[in-house]
Amino acid sequence: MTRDAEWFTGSCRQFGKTVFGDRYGYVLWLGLLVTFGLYWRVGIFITDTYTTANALVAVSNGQLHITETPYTLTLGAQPGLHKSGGMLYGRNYGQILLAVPLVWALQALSVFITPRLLLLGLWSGTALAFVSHVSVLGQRHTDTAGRTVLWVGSGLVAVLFLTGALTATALPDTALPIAAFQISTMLAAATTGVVLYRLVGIWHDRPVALAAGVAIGIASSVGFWASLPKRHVLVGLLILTTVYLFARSRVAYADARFRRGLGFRAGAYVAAGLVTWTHAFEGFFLVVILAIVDLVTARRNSFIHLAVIGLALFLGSLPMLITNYLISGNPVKPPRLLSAVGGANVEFTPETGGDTGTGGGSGSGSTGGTGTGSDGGTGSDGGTGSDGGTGSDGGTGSDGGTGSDGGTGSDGGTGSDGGTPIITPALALFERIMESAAPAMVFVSDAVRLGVGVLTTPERLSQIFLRSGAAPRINYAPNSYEAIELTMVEAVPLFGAVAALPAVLVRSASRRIRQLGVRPSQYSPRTQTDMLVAALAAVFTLVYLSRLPLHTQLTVRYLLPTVPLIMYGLVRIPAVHETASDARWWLAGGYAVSTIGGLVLGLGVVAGLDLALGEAVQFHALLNLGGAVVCAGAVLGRTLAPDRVPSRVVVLGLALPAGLTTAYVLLSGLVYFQYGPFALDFIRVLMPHLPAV
Amino acid sequence: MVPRQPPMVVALFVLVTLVVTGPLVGVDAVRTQPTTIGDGTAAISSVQLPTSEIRITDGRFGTNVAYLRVPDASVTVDSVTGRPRLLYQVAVPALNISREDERVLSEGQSGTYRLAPGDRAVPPSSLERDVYRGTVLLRVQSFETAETIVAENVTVQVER
Repeated sequence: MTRDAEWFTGSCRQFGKTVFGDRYGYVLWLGLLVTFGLYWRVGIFITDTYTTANALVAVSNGQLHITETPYTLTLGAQPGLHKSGGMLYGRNYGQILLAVPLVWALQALSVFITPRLLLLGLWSGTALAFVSHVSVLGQRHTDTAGRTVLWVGSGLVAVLFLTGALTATALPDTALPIAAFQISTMLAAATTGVVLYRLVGIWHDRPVALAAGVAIGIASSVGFWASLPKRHVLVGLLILTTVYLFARSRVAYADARFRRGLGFRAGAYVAAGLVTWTHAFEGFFLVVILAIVDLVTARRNSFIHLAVIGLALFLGSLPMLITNYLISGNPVKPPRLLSAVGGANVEFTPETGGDTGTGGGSGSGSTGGTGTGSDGGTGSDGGTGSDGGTGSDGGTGSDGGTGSDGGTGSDGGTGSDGGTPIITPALALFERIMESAAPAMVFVSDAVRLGVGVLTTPERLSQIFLRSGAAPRINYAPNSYEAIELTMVEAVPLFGAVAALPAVLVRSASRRIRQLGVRPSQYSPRTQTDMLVAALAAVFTLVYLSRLPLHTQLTVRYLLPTVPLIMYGLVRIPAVHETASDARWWLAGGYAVSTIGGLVLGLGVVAGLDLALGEAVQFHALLNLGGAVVCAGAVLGRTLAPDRVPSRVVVLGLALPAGLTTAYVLLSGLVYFQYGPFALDFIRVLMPHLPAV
Repeated sequence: MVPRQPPMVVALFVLVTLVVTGPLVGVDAVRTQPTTIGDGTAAISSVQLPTSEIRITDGRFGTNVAYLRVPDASVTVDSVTGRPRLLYQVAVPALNISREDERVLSEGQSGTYRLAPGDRAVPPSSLERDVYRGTVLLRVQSFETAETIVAENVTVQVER
């Protein structure tokens, strides 16, 4: 009996080590979840979610097609609803399947526990685990400090739980599936923090890695979307996981541990393949970029290795292929390619234009009657792309192609396109694939071509990346004319530090020129990983550019998957990671001060000037831009003239924008955007005492 | 080894509370907040509603829209029977815009309530005049009664 228990705790520990790396990673994960819970509202923020939430309920009842609509009055007018064989389907089934076990778990627990207290209990349990693990960080468990953390933390959780339980309000059972959906997204967001922590931890010391994990979790737009069940956080997580596994494989190859390297390499392809399950278009681009960089930089591309990664990619795509087969009878035809219901054929219009996209009720205007419905149009652009999904089979095919490339012994440098005719044995299937793949390829090339076109229009780029205000291209009508759409830098002002990247790149390029003879496969694992990240960030930005700026983006959510990648790039700037390592306590303290300052300032201005929603959001936008300028100046200055810019200035340049972002993320959930009741009642009773927009 | 006493005690307490208040044991801990209107009425003793503050001004911080600024109303309720609601609405018919806030009251909930409809954004291109006629409405409603406490026409200045 005790041996079983020991075995069990042993394997739990092993599992924890595999996923979280160490206790710091676990604490980071728990801390992010606890924080996300504070500003979690149970409900639907963006109209696209009505379809996926209805589909989630259907899948948790054991069917893929939607018959009941717990979250809408009628069935048929929601954006993102698709029809096949007389039945109605949702989309993003990968994301939905991830949440299904959670729905079952919550429903099972609700037999014993009322839904409202169930959510409170889950939060309290997470917070208690967080407290008990924080108290022993850094071997402090003999210290009085550790003991204090333990007692004070536990006491605080007890008080919050009691407050929540005593003021509990009823939550209907129908809220459980959407709550589970939100929890799945929060888990993905917290795990993104952990994966970035581990990725950065391969090259840099722990304080740097922890800072990166915290920054991506609550000082970036990932925190904004943490409890909003859109696909972007999940896709971002899978992309980052792909990069992490790629990095581990390069490290293993460099150590001549080829079998281990191959394992991680295959893992990267599985993760990339899984993206196709949620969004085939994004999965396609991920697979292509990964394949190119991987084949160019791998130290070994033997036939066995290529066969293994081909198999891995197939395994990763298998869930998508099966789901597609069950829905449409064609494994390479994802739901987004099926005819849409309700809003004319929005799926195949590359340019949504403001006119079709009238369904987007975010903000206060998002009531149930979302009929006009092609906000999904926004998503559906993605949808247009999702044909790319079919393309991704092209991807799988092309991989086989590369396989054959390696087989013939060429280095496989460019080889991911030419190989398609080789997989002709299943000719019938292949023709069927091409049938859907051909229009898909047109959209893939369109996305790239139009994206490049946008690069030549500075004004438009500025509306996507720098200053939003009221952008002329955005149709503000769906959100009651509130200017709530932030740009990338307004949403994540830490990205001001990107200003220093050109200087860093030039420096490393000039170093590289001296060793021109070295082949990419002999580069250091770190450089190889940087190459993959740069390629992915560039491509995932480029393909969405032609659809931006757009309403109901809030933080340019189409570009959300690039946020963890850019954050990684930021940390790789010497001025940033050296500061985070040397001045860690100053950085932590500065971040805390800046967060509190941002909260006080935000609330003060909202109350003092009696701001409306759009004004409050734009106030934060300007504040964040200020932070971004300080960040850019400090990091660039430190990069160009390290002697003139002391590290305290860089600390300010990093802590200020990070804290301001956290303040905005918290206030947006707590005060600005109200679309449902708070999950935690102790937050609900607190909020009437704060000013409102 | 993680010292576990304080968190374990709290966790145990949480677990016991959850099960005791759950459907199986059934100690009632969850309040159902009245959100839907029913029968009954409420007696209003005083209303603070600064209607002169209703106006249209430009949005700040680069929002590039105008806002219909709607002040909060403060309503003192002496007594409540049943589940009536307070409704506060400001409208500018010519612009086809309105803002409202409501509060469902339940038996015994006397006190002062704040109704805050918030501001309503207006695209500047739709503003053609300097002055609009607005209506202000404050009512107590239920399935039985509909009592109007305030009904005023106001002039809404466009200050830009």
